[in-house]
Amino acid sequence: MIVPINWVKDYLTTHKTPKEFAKSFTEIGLMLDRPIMGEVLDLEHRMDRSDWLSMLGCARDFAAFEKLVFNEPELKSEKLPKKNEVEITIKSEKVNKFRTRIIKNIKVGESPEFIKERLVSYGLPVINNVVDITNFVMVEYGQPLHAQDLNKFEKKEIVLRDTERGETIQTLDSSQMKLEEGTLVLSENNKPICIGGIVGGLRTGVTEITTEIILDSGNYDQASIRKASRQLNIRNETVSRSEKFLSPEVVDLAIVRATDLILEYAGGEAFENDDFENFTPTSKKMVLTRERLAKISGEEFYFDHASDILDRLNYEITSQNEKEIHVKTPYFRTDIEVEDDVVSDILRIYGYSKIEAEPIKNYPPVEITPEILKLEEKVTNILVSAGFHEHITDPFVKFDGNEKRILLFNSVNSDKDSLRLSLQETLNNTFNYYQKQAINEIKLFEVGNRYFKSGSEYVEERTLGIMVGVGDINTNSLKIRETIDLILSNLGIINYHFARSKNGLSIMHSSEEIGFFNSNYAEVNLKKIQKLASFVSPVISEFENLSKEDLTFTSHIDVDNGEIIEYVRNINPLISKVEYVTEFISDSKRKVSFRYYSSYPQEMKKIREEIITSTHKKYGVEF
Amino acid sequence: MYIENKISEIKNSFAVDVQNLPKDDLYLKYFSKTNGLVTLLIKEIPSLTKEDKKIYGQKINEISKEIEAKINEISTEEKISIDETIKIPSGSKGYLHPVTETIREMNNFFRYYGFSVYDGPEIETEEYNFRKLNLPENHPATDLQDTLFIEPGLLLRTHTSSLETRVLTEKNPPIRAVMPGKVFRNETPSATNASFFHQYQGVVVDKNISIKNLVQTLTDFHKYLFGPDVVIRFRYKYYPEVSPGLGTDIQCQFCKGDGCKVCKYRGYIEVLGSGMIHYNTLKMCGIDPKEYTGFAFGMGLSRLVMQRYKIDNIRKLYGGEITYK
Repeated sequence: MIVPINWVKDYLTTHKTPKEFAKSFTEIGLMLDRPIMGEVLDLEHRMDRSDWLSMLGCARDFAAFEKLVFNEPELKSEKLPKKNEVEITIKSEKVNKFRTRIIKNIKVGESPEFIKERLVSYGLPVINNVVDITNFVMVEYGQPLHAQDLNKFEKKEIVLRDTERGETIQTLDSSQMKLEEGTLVLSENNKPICIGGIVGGLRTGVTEITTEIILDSGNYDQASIRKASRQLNIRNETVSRSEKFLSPEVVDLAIVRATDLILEYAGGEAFENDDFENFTPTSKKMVLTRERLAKISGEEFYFDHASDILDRLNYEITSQNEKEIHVKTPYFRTDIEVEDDVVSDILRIYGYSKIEAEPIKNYPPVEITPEILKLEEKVTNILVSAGFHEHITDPFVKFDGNEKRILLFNSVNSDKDSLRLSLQETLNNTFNYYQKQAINEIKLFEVGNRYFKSGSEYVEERTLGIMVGVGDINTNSLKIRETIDLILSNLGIINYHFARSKNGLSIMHSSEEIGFFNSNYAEVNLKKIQKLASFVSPVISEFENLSKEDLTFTSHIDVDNGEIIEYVRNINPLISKVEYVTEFISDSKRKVSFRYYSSYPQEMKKIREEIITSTHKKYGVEF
Repeated sequence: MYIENKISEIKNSFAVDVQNLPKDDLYLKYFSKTNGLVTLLIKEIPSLTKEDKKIYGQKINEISKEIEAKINEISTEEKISIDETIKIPSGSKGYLHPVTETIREMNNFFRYYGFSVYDGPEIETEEYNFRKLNLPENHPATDLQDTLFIEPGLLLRTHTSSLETRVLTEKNPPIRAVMPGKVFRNETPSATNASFFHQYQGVVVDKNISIKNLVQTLTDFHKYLFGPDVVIRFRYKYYPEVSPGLGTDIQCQFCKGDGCKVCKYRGYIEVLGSGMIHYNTLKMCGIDPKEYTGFAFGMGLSRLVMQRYKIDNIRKLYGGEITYK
């Protein structure tokens, strides 16, 4: 929001510098957005306060904050003789208020200096007195209005309606526009002459030869304006106001002020023409209580300043006592919903910089951190300590037709219009980047969601993805399996095993799949391992004196030996653990060596015989 | 005297041996059960006269203890032959992602003040992402334009405020929680905008929570994050889900508030948005706004993280184009 300080000074008297103006505006909600340009401020406007889209609105709050006298322009032509020369017909649901006036015998020419100066400092072009005045009043009151040359009308009518298919208009900036079906327009003789709340048409525009004008100002459904302006790709001063929740009541003030200025600087005689109204007044009855104000602010004293501040902000105080103030909110404040909004005004004008800090006195409530977050932190720590780098990758990917994949409904980016099914899809980009940098030991992981459709449900699943590139395919495979073991054993999940499945290779815990892997990537379902994990590390207070022995068996090259080693572990309860040692291929057979441990040295011979006979019997492998 | 000569002989030979023989050999030579020099000497004690026993028995004991102690002192450790003053780089270092590291640091602060860490879905309903935040249909902030929808009514959360309505709905007050998380926007990626980034949300709901508590908490938090000398500015700022709303800035450390390139000539840098939780939000989350009050705050993490880690492009932060030294 551009705010020329000279313009603000039309409504109040102060010697403050632009910097001081900026500081106060910032504190009350209009933050300085860009460097100060001489006497002009660019302030950040948030969408709540539609009255701040006007010089009067900004000046009013500034005056209230600085305790200055605020002078609104004096309005003269409030009552005019009525001459309904142009018939107004409303055929659209989008109109809340529409008011018109006719001014005859005007003389189009140059604007007075003060108007030109203010428009230039605001950044609007100077055109002619009539157009300039409508722009001036729009910025002053925040209410768009516009004037049309009545002599260019083919029929003396204005119809506000939604467009049908294929209608076009040539706008004031001379571009021919195709209008979407259902766009609100002002039309005459069934031809659009203006896009309602957005931009005027060229055909009925005011020029040097204009002598008779119809002035209109309207309040329309803001959401439709926003939608239409985006479809048409039009951003201008009119749109930036009509797309907000403007108060319909400002229409009256704006049209009167514009009439006053036109009569003064372009001459002529003005008449009231038809108007239309269909809205609930903005002003609300509200009660501000001492109790609520004290509760939110943490201080009792604010209530003593409340009525003064409310008065300065144009609230109408209807009654008050020790405990409460009854008010009618100002007509221009479309943002006020609840009592706390009134509280907010009091704190704001009293000064946010004066709020004193105070620690929370209450006892901390019960801990509600979900276990999954604690697990994720633990897993992350384990991997980082093991030399893995954490990455966070973009979960969007290009849709590939996979019916399990979640496709986005309205993505602007066709290369990233759906969500990843596996972290590998996106972590892989990072992996490739590392490879391009010729980094030869790559160990990466990510903790994040994978997403998929399951029937009509959209599922997100907390997932860990691990990727390694530390050597040849066998070295990577060993590293991946070692890392799976590192994580699971650290979480106390020892009884897991691997199995071939439709996912390739699955990480199993009894009959449940808790993850999968391939030669350089592993993915683990974190929710599932959270249920199995123990947060107590496997501590042994007494050292077990284990005897160990190695055995090698020979199996067919295509046999999955993981199961055989798992089987050995369970042959005899006296076996403490079984570990893979090495494997090699000779004569098209695979030889696998493993080591078994027991704390019963005298039983080792017996255990050994049992392993050999039992495994041979079950799997046919030779030792 | 025979025995006295023996004692001094052993003493002298040990003085030489201790310089040359390894520990085990020394032990064998002097204390071997069968022919250790000291062992043999001790064995002679019974054959001494009563008087000599008195004099030399004690001396022999002393020499035995002395030699044994000296042998025990000898270290058996391997002797190092490489230079121990050279630094050796670790071949395998793992680092947390800058965002995770920053989130953890923030969590540490809030956990100290009794906050839990909370979480919720990324695929969210309009109810939690908009409606409960006092954003009615047709509100400019709910525009289809900025939101990634999966189907009508179902979207990828656009802010961590949806986690706030989650915790307020799912838990009973008193509540104190912080909620880091990913958020998603329908944007064409650029150096400063990504289609997803991280935000950090915090919420406190209890009896008698006032804006003064909010100011204290955020002041302490900013001091923790930016150092004790940080200058903080509070100003009115509108957010639909709070009233009164409050914007928090820190003074630019380069220009000290005068305005420079770094702070875009504002003199201050915006850190977060906050406010007292809106009456309607509490109500829609099933909390009685007359009994309980509370505050909430939310901040973007990307800019903060990029500044701390000197990363100039958001795509590098998330595109995997950061490696670690």
